[in-house]
Amino acid sequence: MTRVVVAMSGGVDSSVAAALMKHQGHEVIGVTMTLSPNEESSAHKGRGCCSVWDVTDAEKVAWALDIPHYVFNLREAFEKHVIADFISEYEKGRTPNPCRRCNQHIKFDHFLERAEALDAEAVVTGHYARVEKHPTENRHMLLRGHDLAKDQSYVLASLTQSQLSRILMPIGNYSKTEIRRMAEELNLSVANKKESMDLCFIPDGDTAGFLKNRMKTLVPGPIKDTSGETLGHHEGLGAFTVGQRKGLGIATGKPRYVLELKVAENTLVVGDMDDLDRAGMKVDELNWIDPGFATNLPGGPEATIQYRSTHRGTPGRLQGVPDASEITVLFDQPQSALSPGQAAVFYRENEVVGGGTIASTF
Amino acid sequence: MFYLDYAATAPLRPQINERIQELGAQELGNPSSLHRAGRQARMVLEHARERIAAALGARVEEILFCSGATEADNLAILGSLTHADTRCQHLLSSAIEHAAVYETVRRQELLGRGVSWLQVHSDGRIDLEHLAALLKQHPLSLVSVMACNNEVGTRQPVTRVGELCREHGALFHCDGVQDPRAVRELIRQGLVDLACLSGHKLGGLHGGLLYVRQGVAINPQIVGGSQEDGRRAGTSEVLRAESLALALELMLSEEEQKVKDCRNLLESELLTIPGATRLGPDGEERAGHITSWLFEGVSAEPILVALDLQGVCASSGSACSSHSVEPSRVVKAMGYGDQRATGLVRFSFGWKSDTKEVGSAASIVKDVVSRLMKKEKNRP
Repeated sequence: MTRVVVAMSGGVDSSVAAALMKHQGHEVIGVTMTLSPNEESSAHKGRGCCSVWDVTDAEKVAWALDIPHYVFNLREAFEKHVIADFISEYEKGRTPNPCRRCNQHIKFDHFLERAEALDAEAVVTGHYARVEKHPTENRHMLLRGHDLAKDQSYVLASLTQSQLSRILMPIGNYSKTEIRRMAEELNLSVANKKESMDLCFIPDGDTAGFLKNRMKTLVPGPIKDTSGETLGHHEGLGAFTVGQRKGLGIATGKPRYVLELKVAENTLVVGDMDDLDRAGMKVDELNWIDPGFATNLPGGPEATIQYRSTHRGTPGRLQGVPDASEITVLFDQPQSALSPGQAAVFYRENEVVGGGTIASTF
Repeated sequence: MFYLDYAATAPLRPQINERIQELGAQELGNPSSLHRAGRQARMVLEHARERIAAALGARVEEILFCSGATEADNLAILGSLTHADTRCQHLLSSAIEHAAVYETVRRQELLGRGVSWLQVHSDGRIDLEHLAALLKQHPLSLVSVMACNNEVGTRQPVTRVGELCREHGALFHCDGVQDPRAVRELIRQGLVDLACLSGHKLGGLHGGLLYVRQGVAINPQIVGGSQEDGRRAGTSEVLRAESLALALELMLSEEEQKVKDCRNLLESELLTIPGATRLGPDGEERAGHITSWLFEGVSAEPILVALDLQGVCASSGSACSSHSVEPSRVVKAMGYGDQRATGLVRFSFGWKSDTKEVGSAASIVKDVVSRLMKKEKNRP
């Protein structure tokens, strides 16, 4: 019997993860992280995650499973690594993925460290992804979850081998339907809990309003088309995302999409859908889960490339050298709506071989 | 299980449990009713008030039952400030008060009321010279200073605070939750105007009281009934009143030394750990039942979790709504940085603590803390 710490959000997935570990005979400790900055009741706005009611949901599951449960306060680290990064990325005209940052810095860094202080051998999460030992090589693999519609491997691609060797994701072997059914069979109070869709630190979903409050400067500027003609004005570049169509506030008779955020000129460039097409991109902040793949980079290896959490990947080639801080990705077919700041994740079939951050597109 | 968290709450005393069951079996009415069942309830309620008044050296009309000390603190501050007969309009308090006082004063400050914050020494005692200077400036103040700090166990110089308030004509409110003996002493000497106590810290049910010195006017903060002489609406809680009376009598009759022996035993063990620092003053300036520590490089959270996994219940002082560990406002006010303020670990003792139990707990605490400190040191 080994001691494991389960990150319990109060949602159905991590609750079933805790139950599965318990049934496998582990000594299970449940932990809920509090991340969002405010302590005030937000019950009147609807429950975000990490509210006191989510903590109570997690506790109720822990009581039902007869495991100890604690609350770790990671607010300071979350503010520093996730929220501050979220704001500064938007300020740079990029589109951040805070869940990925949270996984990278909070869930599998601070959390792992705290779990180790409790002499736990592994941390367990309710992610739809799988961590497995490679059958022949001395390394761990990160694989897509069996339920491809729920797969979350995209936001986990910054995990290192050392982290993967201490992480278990039991949910990745099941479909969401199976998980809900298990939760019902176990009589867990959260079996039919609504899925959280918004960012946990913006429970009302008003990202633009949040950024308006938190950004240092939002300076109005022009909206131009690709020929440089001014079509209208924006209230500040923050919160625009490449590919965005709604909320531009211009009427030109045909749909217009955000093509680029030119921060230096404070200009929003818009155009037709066709103008969104990109042949490739530069990717930095690289992390190779399969180091062997990186050594093959000079050969221009093929991979399936996923560049958005809702996207399912497209074939292409990687170009670079093994220790480069930046590589080039060429798509087999032009791709639209690539947003600098988002993760680019490279797959070999269902296995994540590595990933990074989209630096620029061409 | 080793329970070392009496400053948070105490286990129910068996005598009180028995008495509550006995009363629960009777058909007690509403103490405001005229019939026999009501009279029966009123008899229990008023006898409880009488016994409490006797124990504290107060008059019966000076004792007012509340849901707990938090309500009593709110009522003391807001009730006296808002009464038409109150001349005291300024507020004087400190950053080391319990949240029931601190947040109430903070809110008044945000609403625009004049508030002055007392400076605090590194041992957690308020600066009396600062208080004297502030009272000179604002003689008509309501001063709120606790008898004993709940996080680090520092006893405040409340007798001197009371005297200074008398000299300047200020009102003095004292949160006495952690030290009923000090409240009794203040009342005996006629040095306090408002004071509160809590039943569950003493081994009773939840439920508290507010002492309001005769002649001090307060406005009710909960309205909708004339109970408690029109100063606190809501059906009087007979069982809680009885429990509070019993708990207070039992607590005051006990020897303080037993609890101190437990505390000293744990401290002698912790003192041997390099990098362990005890917070607060020595001797009579500290409570007998609380000992609070910082362990170099380690925050309270992993210590408390590791202790709990081994059956030892301790705490970090104050808890937030999601019971995660927050930096201690009290430790910060004593001059420590944010980082150290997350390290506060508090052990506290009470009526059921015995040295045998504490001895076993002490070796667990020492093992856990030493292991975590070593781990932290070796971390790359």
